Amino acid sequence: MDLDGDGIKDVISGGAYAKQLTFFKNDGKGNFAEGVALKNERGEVFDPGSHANVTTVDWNGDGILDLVYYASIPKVQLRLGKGDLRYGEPQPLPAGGSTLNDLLRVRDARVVFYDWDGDGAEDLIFGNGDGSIRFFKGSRDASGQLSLDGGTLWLESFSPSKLEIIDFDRMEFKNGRPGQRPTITVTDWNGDGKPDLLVGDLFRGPTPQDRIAQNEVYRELRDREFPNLRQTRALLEQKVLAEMGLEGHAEKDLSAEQKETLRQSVAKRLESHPVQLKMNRLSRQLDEYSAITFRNYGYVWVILSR
Amino acid sequence: MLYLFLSMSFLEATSGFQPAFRVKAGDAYISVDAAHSAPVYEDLDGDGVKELLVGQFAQGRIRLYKNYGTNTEPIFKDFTWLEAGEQEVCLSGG
Repeated sequence: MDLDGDGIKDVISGGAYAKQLTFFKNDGKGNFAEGVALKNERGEVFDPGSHANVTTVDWNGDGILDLVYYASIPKVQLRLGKGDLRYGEPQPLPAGGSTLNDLLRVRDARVVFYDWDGDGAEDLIFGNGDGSIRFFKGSRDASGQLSLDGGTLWLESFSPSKLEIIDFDRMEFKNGRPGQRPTITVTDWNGDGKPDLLVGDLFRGPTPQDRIAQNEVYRELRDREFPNLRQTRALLEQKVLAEMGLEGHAEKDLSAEQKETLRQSVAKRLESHPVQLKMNRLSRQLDEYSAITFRNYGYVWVILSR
Repeated sequence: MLYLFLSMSFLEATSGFQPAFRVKAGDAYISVDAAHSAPVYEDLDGDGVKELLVGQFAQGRIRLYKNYGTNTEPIFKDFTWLEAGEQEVCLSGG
């Protein structure tokens, strides 16, 4: 967004624990100046709250961009721009005769303003932490003041239930599924003149890379190391039987005492055998991959308008 | 799961949107460490072609994906970390 009104797109960002909103001025060639913290009217850097993300809109129609941001506490807030990158005191964002925070159970949300219906007033597109996306129609009065209606559910969830990742369909979604905490921007992704949604999400679980690596280890164990181990065990059994003077005897022909001697002798020799050591190492790797269930990651999604 | 699939299919059919798809860089889907990416697709260097900015919770850093394609058929490969004041941007992430 062009926060300083010089006609060039800049970047502003919140941060998980940044305790400020940061403005990065663009020189128009993609070179950004060192970040500058946004300030209140007294010239003090203000803390928007943790996990803040921010967007802009001219809420009161005075020609100065205002800030609308989400933070864990106090949820969705509006600060009116006063010029010179200074902003007024925070207030809950009005919507539907109330505030957005009172209308919805807002959590891990992302807000973006865009004149989606082309009526000249910016609308609010709102991604909530549960993966839902809502539309709040905006309208402006004669003074240019923007207001929002009570909102309409656009999508309950945008992510398909089955993704085209190797073995992904066998994953258990016990720790959430793709599509949570949507962070939205509006763009014309395919150049058809219609606005589309660009969305980041959050997912807890093994990453596809984890899953692929786990499958590779599993296949190596199943297809190579287990047969190797069986063959090695059979050779060792024959060797021990020969040492016991029982060469050519089948195990079923042995006495219980002889069976136990054979079992213990083979087990002892296998303990330090390279085939067994490799089996142990791969098994530990498999366990480690299986234990990865709470890694947080996210994809970048495009939702094209019809 | 069946109910979820059916309900999402219904929503996709009745909404003004096509089914979502994920953005790739090279052959791999863009996957962000610790999520919260807030992606942005804008022409930031003034060459007429949009770039993709992708944030991440981990270290509070921002990826910059150069677009090797066009604005209507973007192609992304690798990324660099966004710099400001000749330093990588780090916004106190987790």
